[in-house]
Amino acid sequence: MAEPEGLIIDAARQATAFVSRLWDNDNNVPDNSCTLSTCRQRLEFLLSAVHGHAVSLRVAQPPPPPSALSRLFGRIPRHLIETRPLPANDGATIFLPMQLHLSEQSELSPHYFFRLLALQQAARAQRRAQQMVSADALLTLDLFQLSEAAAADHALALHFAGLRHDFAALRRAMLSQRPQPALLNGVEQAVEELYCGVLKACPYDIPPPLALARKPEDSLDWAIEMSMKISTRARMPAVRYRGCAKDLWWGKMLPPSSGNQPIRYEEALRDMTQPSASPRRSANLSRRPQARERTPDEDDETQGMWMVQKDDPQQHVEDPAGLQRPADRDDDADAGDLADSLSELPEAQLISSSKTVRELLLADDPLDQRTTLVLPGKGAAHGIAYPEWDFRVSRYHKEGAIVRLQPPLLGDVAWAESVVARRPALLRQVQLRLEGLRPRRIRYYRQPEGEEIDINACVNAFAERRAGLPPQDCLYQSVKAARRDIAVALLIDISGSTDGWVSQELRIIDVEKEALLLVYLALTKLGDPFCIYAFSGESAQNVSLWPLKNFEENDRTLVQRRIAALEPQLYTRAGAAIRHTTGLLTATSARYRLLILLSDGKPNDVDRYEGRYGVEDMRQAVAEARLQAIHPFCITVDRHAPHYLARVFGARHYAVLQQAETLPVVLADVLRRLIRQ
Amino acid sequence: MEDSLIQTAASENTRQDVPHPQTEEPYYLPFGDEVSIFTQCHRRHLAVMLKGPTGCGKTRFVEHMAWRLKRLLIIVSCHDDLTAADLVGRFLIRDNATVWQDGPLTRAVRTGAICYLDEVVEARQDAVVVIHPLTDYRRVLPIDKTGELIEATPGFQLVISYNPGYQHVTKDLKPSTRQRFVALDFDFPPPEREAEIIIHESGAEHAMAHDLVALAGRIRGLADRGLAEVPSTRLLVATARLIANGIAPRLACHVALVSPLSDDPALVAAMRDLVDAMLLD
Repeated sequence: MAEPEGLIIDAARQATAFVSRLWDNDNNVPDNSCTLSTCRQRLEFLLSAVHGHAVSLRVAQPPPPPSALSRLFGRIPRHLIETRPLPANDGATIFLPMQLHLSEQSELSPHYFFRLLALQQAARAQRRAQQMVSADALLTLDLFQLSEAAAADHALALHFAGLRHDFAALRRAMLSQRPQPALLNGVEQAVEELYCGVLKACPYDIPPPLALARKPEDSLDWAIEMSMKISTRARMPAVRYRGCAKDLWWGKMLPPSSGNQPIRYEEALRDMTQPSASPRRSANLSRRPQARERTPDEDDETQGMWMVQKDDPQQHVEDPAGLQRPADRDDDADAGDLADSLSELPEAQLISSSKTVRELLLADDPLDQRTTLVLPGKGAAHGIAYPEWDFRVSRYHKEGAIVRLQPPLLGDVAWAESVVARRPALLRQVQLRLEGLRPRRIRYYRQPEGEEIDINACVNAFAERRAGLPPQDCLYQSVKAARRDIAVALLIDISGSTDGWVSQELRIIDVEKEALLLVYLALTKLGDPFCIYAFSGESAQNVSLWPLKNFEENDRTLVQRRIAALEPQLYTRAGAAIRHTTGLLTATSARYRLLILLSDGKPNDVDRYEGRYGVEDMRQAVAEARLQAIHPFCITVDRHAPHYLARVFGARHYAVLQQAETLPVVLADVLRRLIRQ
Repeated sequence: MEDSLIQTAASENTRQDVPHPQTEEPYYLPFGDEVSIFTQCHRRHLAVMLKGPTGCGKTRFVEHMAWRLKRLLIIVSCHDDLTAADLVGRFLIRDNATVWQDGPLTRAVRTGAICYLDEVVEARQDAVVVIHPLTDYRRVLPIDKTGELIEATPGFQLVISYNPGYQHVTKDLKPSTRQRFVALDFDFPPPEREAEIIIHESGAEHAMAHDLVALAGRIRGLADRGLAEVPSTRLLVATARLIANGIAPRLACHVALVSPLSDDPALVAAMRDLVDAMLLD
């Protein structure tokens, strides 16, 4: 006989499992095999091919959960509450959900849906980019979006005949999920009829009363006219239009992005080189709050007359200064709780800090803001002035930029050992790729001396002697190691933006360091002279260069410790760094000289070295290098690089990394391609 | 003494390798003034360099011009083992005698043919330097082995091709060589012309040819995104031939257009998606 406690526990377990199954069924557990992350790169390639330029694809964030008050008193009908992320665009960037929650009876695999949704949103974004129009009233806005979406589908169906089945499947799937007509009022039913009319029609056709809108302005005119008609027909001006249930087809039209907003910067409170005492905690964010701008009066220095503090302030996940978050006070606090609290915020302010990261909250769609950190002990070294190109006046500024060679910091040698121990497969891959470059033993024919007789040369010499020509003396063949005569310079960008995280464990700088270490280990075996320099800096007066390895240096431990000590610094004034490295390469006696730049974005600095000025100076520096018979090449993780890199380095002289983690292998591949014999 | 006799290229058998001008006009659709420029270069004894991506019609253009100018055409595909002797000629021992065998370049110089050196950057430097005296006012070919100085026959013309896309640190044309040529830039033809070429060369239907050209246009947009080689007109003609012979369009594009271009799984998958979206079986 079982104990009563056991029975209760067992019953509770069964009940929990039953509720859990019910919950799962209700939420239609999606097919996890195809998520946006598995096909994102493929979709980005497809969009690039279709539109002729890079289209950025990001993860759509789920809507913030409604607060308890809005649940209690809100007037949002149940069928209009958004629970899942929807495809969207802001006129430039495409947002797709990480997973598609499709019913099991879905005719197409998720990948085909992803493909169609990406093409749809990109086509809508393209129309928006041509002409930005917007409507104020919700009814007009919804009708406008409907007309635009139908027009975008029409254009897609016209150019991509092969998508016909996909269109039909998506529209059928959406049609089966529409809300009951009984839930809708008169105006909403009219909009619902229009929407269902579109879903039932073939994508080539625009069902009346919709008309094919050649440009967004036509859609707006139609939407205004139609909204007036619907309101008149309903004859009930008191009936309020509450909205239309949005689905994957309808998607969302986000406001255009305003670009990078300035981030508040908090001074370093302690030396950043000090390792953190407490271990770093990490958790996943289920959704990322929108970045919001700071309101002018949110953190006044002086307190107002009503600010009488009776109790301790309530702890809140978002503190205006980012200093007194609950998790900062408690080293043992669970990062997961913090992630949950943060996920519930609709928006949050961004603050940049040089303090060591204490907890890492990973979102599917990270922010693309650049962070900046303070350089320790700058300006001590002696400077070398380089001219800088000003495209506005088409001439050089003589004083230009000053390069200061900084003594490299020494890191922990154990780091290098741990990388080699952690990534034996990657090291092997890099070695395999560079192995073919080792100076092979090559058979040289027609040598004055050698181990064997060259029969061909002898026959030739014999024939020529018989023809009355002077006798040849190069009649031997010999096997020797081939001399390639190549010098390589690796120039690494360690600007602040390399502080960005590419995975739960690694920042861009970590990936760069690992790639450098692995390629360094492989290159030392080749025997060709090479040097490694890291660069960053702030302003024209302080372009810092850290020599990690000079051409003649052979101390492996020292180089490894220098690589280990690399940390993200300030800005990217690439022109001066390229000019300095060009000078180093020209001083070598090698016949072929190769300059490889590892970069993570456009050149930028605190002053005018931003935008076109920086790009043009970099282009000039690369042209100068080329004039001195140096072959420059760039590897970048900036996926929008093709726009400017083709201009700077020339077509086929750069490579764009699709995944930062592949850097070591790509670097080895580039080296192999450029210096193979 | 028979041993020291030098038999030069006057013998009959050395001329047998020279291809005769084709009787049928090789199909070529001009994109600009290249035909008239080439004709003038031929008349003024100027050497010509054809620059352009692979498979865009450089070789076909030379064949067409040889036919139009009624000249023999000698084509040499250069490789990294090609030496000066391979172009100029060498002594051979034959029938107890030493015989001088002309190389293809010497044959062209003697017979007044058009000599086309395909992918000349691949050849070794000593081979490239041999052509220098033929490309300036002298128009002579010195053969140090025989002590001859051959003056080029008036009909002789040197044409080289060069693909600027194949970037390599150790392989490039020296400025002193480049300056000896009139350069004609080739690129893939505009869509209408490319479709016309495909229809002529493959017998494909008009609509299919246009679809293929539109597809290629979109795939060419991926050149900056990691695609090492973009689909050439030659690749499109091969695909259209498969389709014209009954292979389903999507399958033909997968095997003849997409797979040869890349090994990158994501790129290949994206190109296949594009094919599936644009074409119907």
